[in-house]
Amino acid sequence: MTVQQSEFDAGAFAKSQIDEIAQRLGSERAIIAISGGVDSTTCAALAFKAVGKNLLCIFIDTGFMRLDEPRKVKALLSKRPLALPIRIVRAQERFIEAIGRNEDAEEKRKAFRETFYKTFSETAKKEDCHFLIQGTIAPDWIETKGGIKTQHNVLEQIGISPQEKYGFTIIEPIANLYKDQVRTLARYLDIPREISERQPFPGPGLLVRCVGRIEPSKLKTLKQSTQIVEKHLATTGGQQFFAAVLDNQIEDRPMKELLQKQVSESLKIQGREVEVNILQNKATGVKGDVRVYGRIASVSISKKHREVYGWLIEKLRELQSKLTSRNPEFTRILYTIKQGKESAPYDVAIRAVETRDFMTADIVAVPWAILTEIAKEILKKCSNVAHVYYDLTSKPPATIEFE
Amino acid sequence: MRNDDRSVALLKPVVPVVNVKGQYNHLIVRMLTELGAESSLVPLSVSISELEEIGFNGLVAGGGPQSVYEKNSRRELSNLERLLKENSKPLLCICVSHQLLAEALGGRTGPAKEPEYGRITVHVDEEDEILRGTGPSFMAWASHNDEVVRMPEGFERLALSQSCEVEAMRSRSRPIYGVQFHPEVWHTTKGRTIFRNFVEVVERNATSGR
Repeated sequence: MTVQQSEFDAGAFAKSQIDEIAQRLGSERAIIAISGGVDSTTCAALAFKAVGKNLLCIFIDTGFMRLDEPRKVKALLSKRPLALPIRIVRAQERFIEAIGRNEDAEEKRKAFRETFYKTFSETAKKEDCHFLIQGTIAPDWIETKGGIKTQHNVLEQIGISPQEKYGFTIIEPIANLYKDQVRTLARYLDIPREISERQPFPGPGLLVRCVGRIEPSKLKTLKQSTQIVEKHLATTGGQQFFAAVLDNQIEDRPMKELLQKQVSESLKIQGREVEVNILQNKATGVKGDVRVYGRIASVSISKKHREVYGWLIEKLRELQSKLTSRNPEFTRILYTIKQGKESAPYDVAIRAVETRDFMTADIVAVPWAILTEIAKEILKKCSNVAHVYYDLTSKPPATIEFE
Repeated sequence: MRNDDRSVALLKPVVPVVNVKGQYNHLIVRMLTELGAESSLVPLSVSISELEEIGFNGLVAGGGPQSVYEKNSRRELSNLERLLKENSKPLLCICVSHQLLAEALGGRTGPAKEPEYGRITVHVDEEDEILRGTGPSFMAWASHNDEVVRMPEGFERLALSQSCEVEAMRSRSRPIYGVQFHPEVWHTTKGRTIFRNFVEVVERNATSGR
């Protein structure tokens, strides 16, 4: 006997899922939660093949979308070849109100999920639909069930009954697939390249990149930075790249000196040329399969060394690894690219990772010249930004998103 | 996916994965399926007779959030511990299961001096069988707070890293293996080779047993 390779069979998978959706729905109508991403669009394409006009695609505008996203998505999905029946439900104020002044990542995520399903529940009642189809994939339920973070599209797997709570049955055709398999399926279904190869965007959107408390000016800075980062990293940023905004607030803790010593030893630079700060914001991480809502450290080294170390990505990877291994409460290490006005209220972190399935991730060695160019542009366009960092942390011990 | 060709289906080795509740357990199923085995997740409470009912030819036990020297964790893992002792089929234990395997067979697990999260370099000192084709070293992904501090009697070390003494071990007399890193994740460069080696061990064992 020899071991034979059997890759994911998109044709057989599509056929079995189309049959199953058709059988479960019969002559019932269904709504599908759509974001314009590859997961939900692929599900919509499967469901549309199964039940045709009995499907209604709903795009909820949560207010945490990128600039002009709802309009672009609607245009793309309603034109041929997809020609999906799509409707936008505006709910920005509802989401902002539900999240309120919450700073905690999990509370923000749970408030988002609750508002998300309530909005669907109302739409379903109005439309007399008893089924909701959604594009939940494997990492979504694995991370939610494992207590790492609450994804907005997972209910049954953690014991919440959608029928009792929201009045519909949920169908998840691709719940056992990973992102790369979904892309294979999307290509098989002839979904336009703009979607099958589209950069992933989390369900709660910019909410999880606006670290800590949401403020209108903070969200605005995030939207601007996102646009700049996406423009510059489209070809060099790996499978996922984005900006996150943090508060320029640091903690005064004795830990700081120890970290400074560790950095100076690891990089072999004199202590006075190194500065480490512990940020007040926290970020979601995972260490040994356990969630750690951990500390974020920013590492700055003097200008003359900064340029040199910017090129030595292996040294910085090693530094990150040492710091997160030796200091249990730390899950993120940021490296200062450029500094703006010290008194400005916010910081921006650039993140770019290599990943196949979003279960593990490595940082991308983005050329230092590109990073400094991005930082310069962010500081120029957003006067309320004090520091621009590059996130050095792999997954684990970080997660891909900040919250 | 169903395979309707029965003659092919019969040739597929059956290798279930015990779900120890770690993040990557489902990825082990994906890996084994891609290598032509028949695999699915089975719960921590699974018994040998239930495994025999599905006709298992080999077994993989995944990682998890537990700490095996901590009382409640050990209780949660007590059924798996019994399974590891009773099982006579080829067995691959990953991360927490590797640590549990050490404890179950008379070795010891403790807190890691330097926990490893993310990228590590695994240095292979014994390529035979499970690590065939992976030496002298490869990049792997790890995520553990504890580590094996003493291997069970009759085990030999196959690999180590800069901060962890036992990255891989095996029994000298039976096809039982433990690895501390995660061969099932995409970032572990030789992960597929390791699983291919294991599936081949399972197939050889199944054939010779007939």
